[in-house]
Amino acid sequence: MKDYDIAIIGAGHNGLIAACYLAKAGFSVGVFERNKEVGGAAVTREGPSGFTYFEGPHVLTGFSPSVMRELDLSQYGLDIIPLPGRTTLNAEGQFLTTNRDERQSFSAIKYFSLQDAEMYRVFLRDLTRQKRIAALSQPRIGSDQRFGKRYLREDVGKWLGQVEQFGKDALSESVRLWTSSCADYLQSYFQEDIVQAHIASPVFMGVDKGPFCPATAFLLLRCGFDQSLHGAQGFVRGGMNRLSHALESAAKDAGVDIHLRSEVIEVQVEKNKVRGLTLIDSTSVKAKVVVSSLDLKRSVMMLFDWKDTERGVLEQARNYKLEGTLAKLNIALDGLPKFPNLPQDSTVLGGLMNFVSNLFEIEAAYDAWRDQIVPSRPFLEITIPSVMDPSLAPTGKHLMSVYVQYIPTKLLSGPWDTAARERLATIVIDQIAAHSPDFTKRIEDWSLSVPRDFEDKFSLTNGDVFHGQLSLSQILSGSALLGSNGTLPGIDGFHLCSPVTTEDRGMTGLPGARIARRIARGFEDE
Amino acid sequence: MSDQSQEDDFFEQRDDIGSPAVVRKWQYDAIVVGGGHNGLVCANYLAKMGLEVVVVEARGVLGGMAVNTTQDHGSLESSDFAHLISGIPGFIVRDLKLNKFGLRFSGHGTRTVSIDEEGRKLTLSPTLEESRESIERLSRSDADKYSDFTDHWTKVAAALKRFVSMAPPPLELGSHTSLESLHGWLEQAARVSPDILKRAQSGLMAPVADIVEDLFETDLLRGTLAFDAVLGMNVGPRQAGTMLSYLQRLIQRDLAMQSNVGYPVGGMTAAINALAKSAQARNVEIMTDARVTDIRISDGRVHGVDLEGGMNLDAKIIVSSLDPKQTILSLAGVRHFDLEFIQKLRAIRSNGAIAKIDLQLSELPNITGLNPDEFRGRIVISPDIDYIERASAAIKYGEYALAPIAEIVFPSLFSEEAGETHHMSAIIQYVPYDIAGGWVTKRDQFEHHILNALKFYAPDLLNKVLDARIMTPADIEDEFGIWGGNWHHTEFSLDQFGPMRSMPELAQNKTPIEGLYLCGAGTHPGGGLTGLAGHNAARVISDAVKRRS
Ligand SMILES: Cc1cc2nc3c(=O)[nH]c(=O)nc-3n(C[C@H](O)[C@H](O)[C@H](O)COP(=O)(O)OP(=O)(O)OC[C@H]3O[C@@H](n4cnc5c(N)ncnc54)[C@H](O)[C@@H]3O)c2cc1C
Ligand SMILES: Cc1cc2nc3c(=O)[nH]c(=O)nc-3n(C[C@H](O)[C@H](O)[C@H](O)COP(=O)(O)OP(=O)(O)OC[C@H]3O[C@@H](n4cnc5c(N)ncnc54)[C@H](O)[C@@H]3O)c2cc1C
Repeated sequence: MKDYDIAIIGAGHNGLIAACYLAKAGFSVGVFERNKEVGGAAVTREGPSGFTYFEGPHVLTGFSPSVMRELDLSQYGLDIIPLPGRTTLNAEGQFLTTNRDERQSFSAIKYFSLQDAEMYRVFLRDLTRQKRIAALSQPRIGSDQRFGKRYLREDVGKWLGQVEQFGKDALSESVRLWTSSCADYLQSYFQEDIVQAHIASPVFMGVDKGPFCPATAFLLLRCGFDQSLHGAQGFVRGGMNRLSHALESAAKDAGVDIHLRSEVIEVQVEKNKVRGLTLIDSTSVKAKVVVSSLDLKRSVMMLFDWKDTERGVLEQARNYKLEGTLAKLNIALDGLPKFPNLPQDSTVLGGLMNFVSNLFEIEAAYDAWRDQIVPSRPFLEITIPSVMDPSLAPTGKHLMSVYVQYIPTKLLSGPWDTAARERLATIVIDQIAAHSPDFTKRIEDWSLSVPRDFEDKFSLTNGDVFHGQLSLSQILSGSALLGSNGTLPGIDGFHLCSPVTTEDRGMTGLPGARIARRIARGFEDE
Repeated sequence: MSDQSQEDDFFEQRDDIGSPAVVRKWQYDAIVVGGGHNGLVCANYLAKMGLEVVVVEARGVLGGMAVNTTQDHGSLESSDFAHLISGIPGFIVRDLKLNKFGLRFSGHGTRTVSIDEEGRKLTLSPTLEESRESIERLSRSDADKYSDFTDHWTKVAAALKRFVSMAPPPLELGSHTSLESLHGWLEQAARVSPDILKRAQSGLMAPVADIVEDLFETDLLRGTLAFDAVLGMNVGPRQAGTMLSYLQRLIQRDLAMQSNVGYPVGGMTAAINALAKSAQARNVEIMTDARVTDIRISDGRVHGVDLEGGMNLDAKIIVSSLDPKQTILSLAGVRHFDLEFIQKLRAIRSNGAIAKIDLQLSELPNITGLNPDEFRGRIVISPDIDYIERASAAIKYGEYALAPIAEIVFPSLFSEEAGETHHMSAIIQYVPYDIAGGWVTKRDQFEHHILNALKFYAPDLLNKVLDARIMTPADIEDEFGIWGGNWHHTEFSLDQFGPMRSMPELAQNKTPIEGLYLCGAGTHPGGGLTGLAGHNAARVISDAVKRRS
């Protein structure tokens, strides 16, 4: 095997993006992927006769426009269809649709409450402000030895000065956002149940907490409620594989070698410096720098032999929490189902839909998850991507993709066997059918993945789609373990590029891009 | 300012405490509303500054929630549970010379005996060796780790204790006073070693479950430690903020033990008596059976209070030891505040989640697995993390936990005058303030359920019950005049902690009304029996008075 400047573990989108940037910066780069195809969790596969099934995410949330541009991804066939809107349908059959057009969202909310509609503007403005404050580089406590009076005066003082520019109440509002429950936070703006549930809906997909749990309001920062908050949000035309293939081609054109079926079992370290990789077939690969797109826990616990080095690191990684909450259902339909309470237009049916009435329903599903049972009403996010992109299903037919949230990785009652899976699918199908009389009879086929399947297929520990849960303590302790360049203490030349290195956890491509830029800069500095 | 040496010599103690006092005058420098322990501590400090102070207490007895005596229920009196956790810090005891007013301490704390449904038990005692021995019976490795655990977090608590005895800094930016006081805090922070701060930082935000599950393997140990974290809170151990609550408890313990004083002999009643006597020795007027109905405000400042029965008292400083909602919504009146402020105030979460049950028993019951000697500690039912978390979920939906967590004590075992009968007192947690269907209709069902739940652990209990009394959070609200009946007055949680307690505008013990201050558990550092809130408020008032003169 040839030597590389940089070896990348995992050919998920982040690994590939990092590879592209580094190869373009002139390094020799090899990517080592366990699976037989690239893409990681962001993949689609052939379903039955002409249907395309989404194995992982069905939309891109916040994919970075600069990555798109700098890697010329549209050249490579990546086409993002903007998300037309998001709709919440409650038990009474009322619905609320919002989209990027603030004026349209305003009038949709106004239908329920003028005050809520007005507060929506305030909410967006406040959240934008908080997003900017969160983006300021924050004083870090204890991450290195710089600490003491001077540090506090200068670093903290400087930070406070910056925060102050956002207004007198900027600091207290920040503290409120980072410590409140999502429910309390939303209730301080909105009165209508459907409005609260609508805004909370995108927040909790994949999260191991419910809206009434303390310190969940900050999760709102992740979500793009308007353009200013986020990058591209939408469907990848032709399915997620198009993204992976675009990145694969871009990488190959930049000179990257992609090695499939090449599981990495160890990062070789000598005198605290990375030397290369060992593959499962014992092949040794030399590299000056190793970038891992595995989650923090996996990276620390599976890739290194910590005997000689710090035990504390291992312990911290062991305690790092990854929780599976999300199951995925693909449903092949022989035609577009009717939803009598929803307008039959593409803004609604071609967008994302949640069938939920209030925050309590979401919380109740969370409570069941925590007790390791399947909720009687799981929390759903439904989309029919074939409305916007007919290529995903045979002519006249449709594909429905459903996130099923609050599904435990382990069931109290026993294994995730066929019976358990069928029961879950039935619950979900019935839940949808309650709003659509012809739904059930249109089903040609369905396919369900539960969190543990994601661990098997994509190496997502416990099936955690975020590579690590987003809790306040975890954000702090994770960043305490990781250096600012995704490094681990005591190891030179190793970088993490998994979503835990950014707080968005979305499909942004930023973890890969940022780490690559920093590594390139690091080499220049030497 | 009263002369220090003169005060030292003033030991004449009066014994009219607890009876309706004769009012000697109408005008004071300061009126303290509520004679709970925080009100008394605050009154003492204000008097020490040289102010003329009156304490007005609605009930017939002082001590508020700390001394839960009800006059109308003769058979079950004196259910004080102060032998549990009484954390009046050493420095307050010294400042107020409480030992000169009859407060004595004995050197040891209380044992906790925790039991589970399978009859396992675990004893956590003030002495590490005894705890270790007990843990060892369940797991050797947990026993080894337990001392590391206590050591680690006690260190953190000791380092952080400086932050509870002063009002938190304001978060409002732009005024130089706030930056100044933020700097003051940061300087304090700079004295804490980086290592401790680092541990504290992630620890403070963590759910207690994460901390104890990462370390220990025994469910009963995890559950018992988590119990102390969630007691008095509204959420379960898997939620953020619960480790903070555990640390808060360690801080209180550390402060109380800092002069090795131990625990007050005679429990909290004795501590309250000493506080009242020391106050009176400083010429503080104490009125019981004196309910404040109105705090008089005009031109943005306070002028006095009206009492039930038509009496009025005047003062330029009014310190309320009631929770912020009761103080402002019921006593001060919303018209004096701006709309946004009131809206935020209403949003403070203040519903309580505990019920208290007092049983008069013909004799001591049998508790499966416990010997009578162990009845002198506190008995805890909190067998594992999932059990507690499940119990906590109920209140979100306006229901009580079917399998609650509980703390049981037998106050009659500590009473000097041993009677024929026995008294068992239990705190039952995760009981909603707003129960679906209303307490009027659900009360009997609840009582029945709880007695049966206790019967599981004490099979012969029901045969021995002579009398039972249950206080739901709604009853606690009625009894103590605290909005929502919360143990901490307002929910103790990350978003209502420190500079956010109970809302940023009130966190420095001040209100938007000039001369109106808060000194109860709804201010920093929250509930419990420490007097710190009262102390902090007095400091703020002292600064304000100094600035004016
Ligand atoms: C059902 C589902 C729904 C989701 N929904 C959303 C959503 O709505 N929004 C959102 O933002 N995100 C969502 N996600 C998460 C999103 O898919 C991930 O955040 C994203 O795919 C992470 O990309 P990555 O490149 O960092 O890592 P991954 O995609 O996890 O890639 C890691 C790669 O490393 C490979 N690998 C693992 N171990 C080894 C080894 N030892 N040696 C070599 N290779 C190895 C894996 O096979 C994989 O290809 C969802 C995920 C799932 C499963
Ligand atoms: C059942 C129960 C058990 C507890 N057990 C423990 C324990 O074991 N350990 C522990 O540390 N903490 C415990 N606590 C919590 C602790 O008792 C409180 O946090 C603490 O007593 C609060 O003290 P305070 O002085 O701030 O307020 P309070 O004690 O509530 O005092 C407020 C006072 O104001 C009076 N008042 C109310 N309205 C008026 C009015 N209009 N006019 C005049 N006066 C008025 C009340 O009668 C009361 O005396 C318990 C609480 C409860 C309810």
